Amino acid sequence: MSRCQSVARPLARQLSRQLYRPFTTTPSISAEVTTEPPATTPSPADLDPDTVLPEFENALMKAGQMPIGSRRRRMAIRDYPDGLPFEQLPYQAFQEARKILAADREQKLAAIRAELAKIALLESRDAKDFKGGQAMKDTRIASLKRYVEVLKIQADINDPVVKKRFEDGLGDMNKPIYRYYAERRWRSYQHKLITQRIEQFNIVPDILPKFEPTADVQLYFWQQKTQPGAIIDSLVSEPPPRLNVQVFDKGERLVTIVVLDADVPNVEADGYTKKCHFVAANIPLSPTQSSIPLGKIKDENQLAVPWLPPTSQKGSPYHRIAIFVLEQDGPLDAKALKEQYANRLGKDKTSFSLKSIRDKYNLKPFGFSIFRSVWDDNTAAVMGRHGIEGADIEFRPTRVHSMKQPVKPRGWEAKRQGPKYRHLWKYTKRIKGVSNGRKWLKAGKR
Amino acid sequence: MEASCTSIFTRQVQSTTLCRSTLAMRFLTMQRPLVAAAGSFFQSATSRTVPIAAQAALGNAALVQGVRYASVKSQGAYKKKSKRGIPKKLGAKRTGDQYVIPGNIIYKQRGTLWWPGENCIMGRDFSIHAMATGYVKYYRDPQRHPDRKYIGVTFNKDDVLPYPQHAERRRRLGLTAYPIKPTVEEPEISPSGIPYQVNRVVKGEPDRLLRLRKDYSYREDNWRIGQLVKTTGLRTKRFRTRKQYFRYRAWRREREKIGQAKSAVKRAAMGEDPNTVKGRPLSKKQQKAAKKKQKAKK
Repeated sequence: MSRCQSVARPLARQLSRQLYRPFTTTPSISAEVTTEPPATTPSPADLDPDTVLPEFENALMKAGQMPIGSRRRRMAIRDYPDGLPFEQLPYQAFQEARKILAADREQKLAAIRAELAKIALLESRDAKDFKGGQAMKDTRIASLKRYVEVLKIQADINDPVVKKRFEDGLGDMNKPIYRYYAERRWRSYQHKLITQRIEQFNIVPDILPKFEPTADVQLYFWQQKTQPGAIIDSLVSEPPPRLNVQVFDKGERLVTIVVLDADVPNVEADGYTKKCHFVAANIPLSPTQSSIPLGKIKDENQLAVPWLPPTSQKGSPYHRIAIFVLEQDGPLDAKALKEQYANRLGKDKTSFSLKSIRDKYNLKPFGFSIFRSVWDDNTAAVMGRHGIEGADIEFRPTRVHSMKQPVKPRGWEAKRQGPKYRHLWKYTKRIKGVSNGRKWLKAGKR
Repeated sequence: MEASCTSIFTRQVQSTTLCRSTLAMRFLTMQRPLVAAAGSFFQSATSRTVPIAAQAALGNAALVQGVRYASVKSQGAYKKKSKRGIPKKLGAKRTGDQYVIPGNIIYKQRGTLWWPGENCIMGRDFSIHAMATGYVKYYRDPQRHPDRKYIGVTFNKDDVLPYPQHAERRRRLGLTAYPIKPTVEEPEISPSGIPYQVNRVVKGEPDRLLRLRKDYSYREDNWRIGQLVKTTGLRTKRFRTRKQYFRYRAWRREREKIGQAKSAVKRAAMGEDPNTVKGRPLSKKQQKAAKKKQKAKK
């Protein structure tokens, strides 16, 4: 029960007796004598600890149930089982404020109507009539449309009911005001978080030279939300995740989803390459339709590269598994994608490149999420199940030897190692940590 | 030279010390044959002005002739070349384009004359270390910082730092692949017929794994004993790193300062100090003005 409702209940109860009671000189309701005989048989409401009347309290307590709170509160609940609507809260200042807000909204709506009329007028005029020609006409119309969008948000932004509905998660994302609220909430934390991850994991410039996310992408493995950048157990990331992509601009669009591993070790080149783990195109996305379970994408027209569980070999540093959502400007040929990325690397067969796929198919990256993968207890089994090679090798740091020349052993013992000092060998050989019977331990030490 | 000496004498300088020092200096620069003559002249000249006792103290053919005895020399003040301390051996240890390996010190410095750039890190004493094998480059990177000078290490000698800002990072794997050794399963029972390991179970304590030793005793592994500390929840050190401690100390000092300022305000509020206004000390100008005011009142 919301706070305002609980506050309103006693008042509402008063109102229920006489819904509208203007200022009068007659005695108040409480002063009026009402003679209702007390009930003798408990009604169903009297068996409920929330609504029990004072006369049935004892019976209920004997039954082992404690009536809640105060009698006044119980009466209030009894009178309004569904609660009083928020808009009808009987506070005078509240109602007056609502009137002001309503007037403001009317004003905004009038402004919207006026701007729309202006747009219609501009559109009807010929481009020659404008000083700058068609370009100027387009600019003016676009700026007016932007202003209309601002007004639409301004019209509703002060409405407490709208705000409450958004906070309860009941906002309709087709309406600009709820999208505005959603974007504001995203920018307040999640956007900052994801941009920080992009920076600290060097997504820019390793994967893309420039990137600014404009949509909220949440990642779910086994119905569990994962934080961006978390290290995920290879067993958990074996099945494909579900994405929740919340966009903040209207309209339906087609998107491409690319999942890639940015840290595949390449021993021959002594460096790293990239490999794609999942590519799907032509996925419809709109503000209201935000859930994309990658495992459910099976259509031939959509799925280009099926999910490959991310794994990392023993000893290799963590792998950054980046998930990109890219906007298409039209339907894509998934089969061409499939052919090109069948080997998960691309045509040149060296390294997958998001840049090239972006440029070739004219895609615009707008959503991003990331998780990491390291070698763990389950990795070998996962690799075995999916035929991924490399579970039997481990990486160890390549030894870099010092550039200094090795020094000859020095000291009394070192001098007396030769056969000339045979009589001293009992002192100069087999010194713990220095020499053994066969060799001088420190001689070759670098 | 002669002329200047005589001019001093004609002025009848009474201060013996001044005369001694100036004369000594001058005579030291003289050539030997001249010294004897001047000495006799000097003696005759001073005998007129300086009392006999002082003459003995002044004494000094030895000084005049520029001889320092061992007792004086051993004090060291003459010999030691002043203002020359122990060398700190700072500066560049590797030049540009020189080959380095991880851990090599490239530059030693007090403070940050140079900053660590590509593949370099800065040590606790601000020395710049290489983190990869490659070639040293000294460079500036205005995109990163307008004023700082950086030292970096590139993998190729021809590379120029800084790298383009939006280009992919150049990274080296630096790892070698080895086959994973299969773990050999140890038999449970030793050839002697007793188990290799037993579990010690004590109520209220974590179970301990005791292993068979060469001397047929059962004892816990040392590394396992070390792990026991973790189960107690004890914290031996308050700070994991030095840096964390310094950060904490700076924060604490800052807070102390704020607290002191606050308490000064409070003290001032309790009993007003004449040299403060609203808890802040008066400036010198204000103090002067206040004094003037008081005088005018009187």
